[in-house]
Amino acid sequence: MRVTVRLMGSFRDSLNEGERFRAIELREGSCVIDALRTIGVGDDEPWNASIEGQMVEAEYVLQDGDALFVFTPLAGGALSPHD
Amino acid sequence: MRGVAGKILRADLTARKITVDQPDERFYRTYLGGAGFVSYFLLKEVPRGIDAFDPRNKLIFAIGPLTGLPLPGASRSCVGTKSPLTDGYSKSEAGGFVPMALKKAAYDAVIVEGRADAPVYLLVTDQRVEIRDASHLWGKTVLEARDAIAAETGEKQIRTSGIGPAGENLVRFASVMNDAKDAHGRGGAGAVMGSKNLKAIAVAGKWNPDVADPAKIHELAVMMNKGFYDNPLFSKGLHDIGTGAEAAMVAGNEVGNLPSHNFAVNSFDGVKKITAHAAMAAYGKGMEGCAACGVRCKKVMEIDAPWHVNKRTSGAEYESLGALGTVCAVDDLERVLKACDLANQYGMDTISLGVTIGFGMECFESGILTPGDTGGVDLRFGNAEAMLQMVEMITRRQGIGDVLAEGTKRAAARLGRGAEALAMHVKGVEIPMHEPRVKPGLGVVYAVEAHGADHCAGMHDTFYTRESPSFERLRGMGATVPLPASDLSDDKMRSQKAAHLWNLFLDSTVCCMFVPWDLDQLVEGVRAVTGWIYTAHEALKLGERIAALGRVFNLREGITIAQDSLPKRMFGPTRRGALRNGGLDEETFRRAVSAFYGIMGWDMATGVPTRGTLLDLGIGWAADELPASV
Repeated sequence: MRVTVRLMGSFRDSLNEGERFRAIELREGSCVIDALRTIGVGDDEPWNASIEGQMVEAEYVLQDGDALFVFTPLAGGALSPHD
Repeated sequence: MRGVAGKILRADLTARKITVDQPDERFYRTYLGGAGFVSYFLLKEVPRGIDAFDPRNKLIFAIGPLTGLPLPGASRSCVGTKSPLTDGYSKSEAGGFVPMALKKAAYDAVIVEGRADAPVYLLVTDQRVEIRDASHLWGKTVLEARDAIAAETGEKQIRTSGIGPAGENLVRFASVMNDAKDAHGRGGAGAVMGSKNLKAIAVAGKWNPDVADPAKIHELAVMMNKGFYDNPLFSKGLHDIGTGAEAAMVAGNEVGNLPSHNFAVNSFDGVKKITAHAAMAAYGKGMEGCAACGVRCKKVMEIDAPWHVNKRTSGAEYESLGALGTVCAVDDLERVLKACDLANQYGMDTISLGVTIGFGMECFESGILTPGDTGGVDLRFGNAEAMLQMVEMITRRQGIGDVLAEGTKRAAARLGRGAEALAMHVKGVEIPMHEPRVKPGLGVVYAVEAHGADHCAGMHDTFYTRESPSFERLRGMGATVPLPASDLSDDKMRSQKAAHLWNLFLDSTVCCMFVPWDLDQLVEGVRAVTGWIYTAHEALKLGERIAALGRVFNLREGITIAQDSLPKRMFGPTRRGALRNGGLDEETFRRAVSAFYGIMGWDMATGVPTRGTLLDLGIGWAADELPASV
């Protein structure tokens, strides 16, 4: 299946210059964490993700055509203070 | 005692009398500083049931044991008072250079009481304390007054903590400004200062504390600065742009965390126009920081005519960009930045100001307010000029501005006709730019926290959904397991307690959450300064003590658990956007509030700290302050 991934914040470093989205191919039944590993986001990096505005967790099962939005975790107005 | 001045200054403005207390070491170890001092003095000394503007109310400025040392994030002060917004306990912190200057003046706190018969300011140095005439400063902006005081005192290193016209006019969300851009914003302490006819406290000095282990302090400073620069989450984010980064605002808008249209929509097309990146790209002059801090998270901006945004007062943060931008559905960057600048110059909390204007806009669009009420101002969402007009009218209490200057709770009660449903506050304090429907655990803390909705009092649920070094730090303070943002289980409440206590300890040291301290490091800092064998146990117990004292203060003032809640709007969907299909489940939320009470050692049904809890915290005396009815 095909999933589009949009990245914001420091995750844009995973994309090529000028690239805003990346379409990736995943096996049926793949989860959010599989998509992140595919584009090179490390397991130990903190992240938030959403699909159509709804927050999703690592184990959320993706569907063909999903547009996944990945961003640095929302905290106190900064990109990522530790609390 | 090491590390502290050992002196608390008292200024009775009615009697024009200055005295100095010298509390014993046990007092310092029990309450430490900052929020700890504030909580103690408010409950001990503010008479039950008085109005916030009664001369008997106290205004407490407190710093902590680490203040004034060359450590990042350690020049912060806490101001506490009985709040004119909540009629209850209030505290608020700010950074800048004033806190360091107060330590150098050799005082750990200043307690102001009474009311001067004419405007005054207080000059506090290590050589002299004077109550000085401020008649010529009344009506001046924060910056104008600050510069005038600097010129007339002849003190080269003078720093001021003061109010602008909003505080003078008793705008209930007036702030106390450290110099001209660091705000003790929440709770309306600036209005209490205005009610006392006190324009400013001006501080300077050359005193240095005797620190128990200077080498350790140096080691901690090096470690903190290295830790900061080695961590791209800090060094790339806070250091480069501060709060309000495009990623934070756009992502927040997309998932509904960033409120828009007075929390009714939470989806705003113009968000990219008013981010910190947009502002700095157009008008940025660089970044600056508080005393001795390498984080340097504060934006400096300047706009020429016709806006005249001053680089000494500018520097809109995420909260300000949200409240005066998205909450009012305004995407006019220059006018949003001008409103932020005016809020600093007039001395008003940008969160309460923006949310109150957003409330006025929704009242207008709902027909609760008419053009006749607003003096002809077309107070619709998105009208940037109307938003700016409200800033002026609220400051001067002109027309509808006089109603809005009361804050949303009182304004709604006065307007009636359903306005209460549009008032986005907890206990009278307007809700910050973090949606409880996205961060429900933080929403519980908003509801329960003694001083009203405070985004710096708990854990941001979205940040702790997975294992991470940040979560590991919190786990060591009692957090449980990473949980989905939407979770409101007992485990989430235990984690919220851990974060809450940590934040209250931070506010007592008084240190900044934008420096990556962990609990043991900050405890080490207290040890190195004081020479005590201070422990993490004591630090977290201090957090519990402060929370209990604030709660007892509120119960004494008649604030019951009925006010430990959120506006009804939070239990339903937004009109569109990510939250269009949902809101918090009210019963689940109430259960979480009750669990939080219990986990804090308070009665799960009544929210009253038990006598056993108060005894355990060494504040058994506080039980005598509880009303017989509880």
